Amino acid sequence: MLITLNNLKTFIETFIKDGRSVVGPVKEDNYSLYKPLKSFDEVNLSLIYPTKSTKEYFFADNESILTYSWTEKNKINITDPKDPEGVVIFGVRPCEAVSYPIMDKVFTWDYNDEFYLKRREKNIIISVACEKCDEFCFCTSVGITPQTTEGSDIFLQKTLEGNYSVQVLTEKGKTLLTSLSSFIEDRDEKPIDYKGPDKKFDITQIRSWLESHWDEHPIWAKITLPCIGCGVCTYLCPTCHCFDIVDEGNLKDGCRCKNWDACQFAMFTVHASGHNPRDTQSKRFRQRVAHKFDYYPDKFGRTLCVGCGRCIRHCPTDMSLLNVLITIDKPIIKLLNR
Amino acid sequence: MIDKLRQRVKELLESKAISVFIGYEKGDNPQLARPIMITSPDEMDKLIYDDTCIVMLSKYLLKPEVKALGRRGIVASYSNLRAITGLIQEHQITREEVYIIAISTGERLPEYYDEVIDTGCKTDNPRLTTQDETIAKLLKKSPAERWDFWRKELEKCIKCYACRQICPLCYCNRCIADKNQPQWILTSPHLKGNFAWNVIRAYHLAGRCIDCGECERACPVNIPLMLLNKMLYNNIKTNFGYEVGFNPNVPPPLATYHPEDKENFII
Ligand code: SF4
Ligand code: SF4
Ligand code: SF4
Ligand code: SF4
Repeated sequence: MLITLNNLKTFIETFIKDGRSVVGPVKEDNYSLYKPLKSFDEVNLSLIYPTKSTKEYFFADNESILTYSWTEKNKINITDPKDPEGVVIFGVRPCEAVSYPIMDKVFTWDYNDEFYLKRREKNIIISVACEKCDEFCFCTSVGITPQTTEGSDIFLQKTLEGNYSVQVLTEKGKTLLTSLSSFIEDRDEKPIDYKGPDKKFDITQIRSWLESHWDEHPIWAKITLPCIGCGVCTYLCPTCHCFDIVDEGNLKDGCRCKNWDACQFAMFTVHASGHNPRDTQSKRFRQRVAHKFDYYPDKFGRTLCVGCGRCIRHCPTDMSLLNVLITIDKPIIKLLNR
Repeated sequence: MIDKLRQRVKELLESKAISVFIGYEKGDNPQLARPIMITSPDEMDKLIYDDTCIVMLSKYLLKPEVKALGRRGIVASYSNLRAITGLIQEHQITREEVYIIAISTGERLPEYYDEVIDTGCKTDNPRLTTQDETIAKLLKKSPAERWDFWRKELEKCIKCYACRQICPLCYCNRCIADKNQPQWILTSPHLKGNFAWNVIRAYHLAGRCIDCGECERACPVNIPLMLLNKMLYNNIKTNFGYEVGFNPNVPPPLATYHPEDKENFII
C-alpha cells in the first residue's frame, strides 16, 4: 500500500479538521518537540528527532491524579481526574515506537498504572522510518533497526519515488485507515533501503560485565566525573519512567500530582533519616546504566534503551552514555578487530 | 599552544604541585568538548583547548569527588576565572587550594591566576551574546505583553534543573527547590511551579551571576534565561557599580549592609 506526500498531508489534516488531536515533530526556534498540530505544514520530517520525546503523551510530566476540597459541612470531597483524550502521534521514529511496549512492562508489572494505560489504549502511533542518523544514534546496537515496526500502529517508509509505503500493524491502525482508505493506493514501491548507524557495542557483553562489576568498580568513579546530575538525560529519554507523587494545595483545596522524577538528582534516594545510599554522582550514573542494561533486562528480558541518543545529544557536559558503554565493551571490540 | 598547556600540566602533576587537573578532552559531541579530570601525566595527550571548550569547569572545583583527589589545577578562560573569583569571594574555595592556568583571550582577565597561556583561541565563550537589545525591546512592551512572553517561555520548562546544576555559582548543598518542609517552591513543572522556580533561581543569582550563559545553553528547551540574569546583572551594575568576579576582596553588594545604603525603594 502506498500514500503520496500530498495525500498524507490531506490524511493528517482530515483528522485535525475532524477535531482529533494530532501531534507531530515540530521545530521551534531553538528546540524541537512533538506538538499538537494545527496543520501538516508545521511538521518537520527532516529532523532526525525532536529534542523532547513522545513520552509526555503517555506519561505526563505533570498530572493531577486526584483533586480534593473541603465542603461547607467540613466534609472532604475527592474527585478523580477526567479521562485523558487520546492523540494520534505522527512521525514517531521506529526506535521510539519500541519504547511503548518497553514502558508497558513497567506500568503493568505489579500494578496497573491507569494514568499511563488509559493514554496508551487511546493513542495511535503513525511511525515514519528513518532515512538518516547522527553520531549519537545507536538503535542497531540495542536490536532495533530503521525498519523495526514494533510499537507502531501504522508504519510509513519513504520510497525511492518519494511516496510512502504503508504497513498497517494493529487493529487500531486498521480502524484508522478504513475511515480514510480513499487516500491509500493499492500498489507498492520499493522503500529506501537504509541500514541505520553501525553497531557500536555488544549488548550481551555489557550485561555480563555489569553483572560482575556492579560494586564500586573504579571505572565508575573516573568515567562519570563530568556528570553534573541534572535531569536532561532522563527527562528527554523515551524509556525513563520514574515519577514522584506530591501534594499541592492549601486548607481549602488542592491536588495530588504525579510528576517526572530522575535518578540523576542527588535527592532521589535520600531517606527520611538523611542517609543516601547513592551518595555520589558516580553511583547515580551507574544506576542509570545498570537499570537500562542489566536490571530491566533481568526482569523483562530486553534492554531499557532504544538507542535514540537523546541523552548524549543533549547532555550539557557530554557525559556520554555511549562512551560509557563502548568503554565497558572495549576489550571485546579489540578482540573482534584482531 | 596546546603543547605548552600539556607540558605545564605534566610538570605540575609530576612535581606534585597538583594532584588533579581539570581540563577538556574531545568527547562524542563535535560541538562540545568534555570535561576531563587528569590525574596522571600519561593522560596528557587527551588534553585539548579549542572553541568547543565551553563547559564551565569551575563547577568541578566544588564537586566532592574531585575535591577528594587533592589539590586541583584548572584551565580557566575569562568566564571561568570570574566564576573562580566569585567562589573565592563567597568563601567556597580558597585561592591556595587551586592552581589556575588562565587562557588569554584578549579580554580584561580577573587578576587571580598563577600563569597565563595563549592558546590562540580568541573567544572566551562562543555563546556569550548580548541580551541587552532584547531586554530593551521587552521593557518597551506593556506588562501584559511581557507576561505573555514569559508565560510562553516558562510553560516549556520541564524542571530538569540543568540550569542550576551547570551554574558555576549555584552551589547550595540543598537547593531551596529541593526543600519540602515547608515546600517553598512547587515541584510540578506547571506554569505556577515554573514561574516560582525560574524567578527564584534568577533572583538568587542577582549580583552573583557572572554572565557566562551556561544556564541558557544547558536548558534543553531553550528558555532565554539570560534575559532574566542579564537584567539583574545590569541593575546591580547601575545601582552599585559592581560586577562579580573581578576582585575577591570586594564584598558582594546584596550580602552586605551599610547604614548609608539607599532606602528609597522602601515605600
Ligand atoms: S549524564 Fe548529562 S544529562 Fe545526564 S545527569 Fe549527567 S550531566 Fe545531566
Ligand atoms: S538511554 Fe539515551 S539512548 Fe537510550 S532510550 Fe534513553 S535517551 Fe535514548
Ligand atoms: S549565566 Fe547562568 S549559569 Fe552563568 S553564572 Fe549566571 S545564572 Fe549561573
Ligand atoms: S534548564 Fe530549562 S527546562 Fe530545565 S529547569 Fe532550568 S529552565 Fe527549566
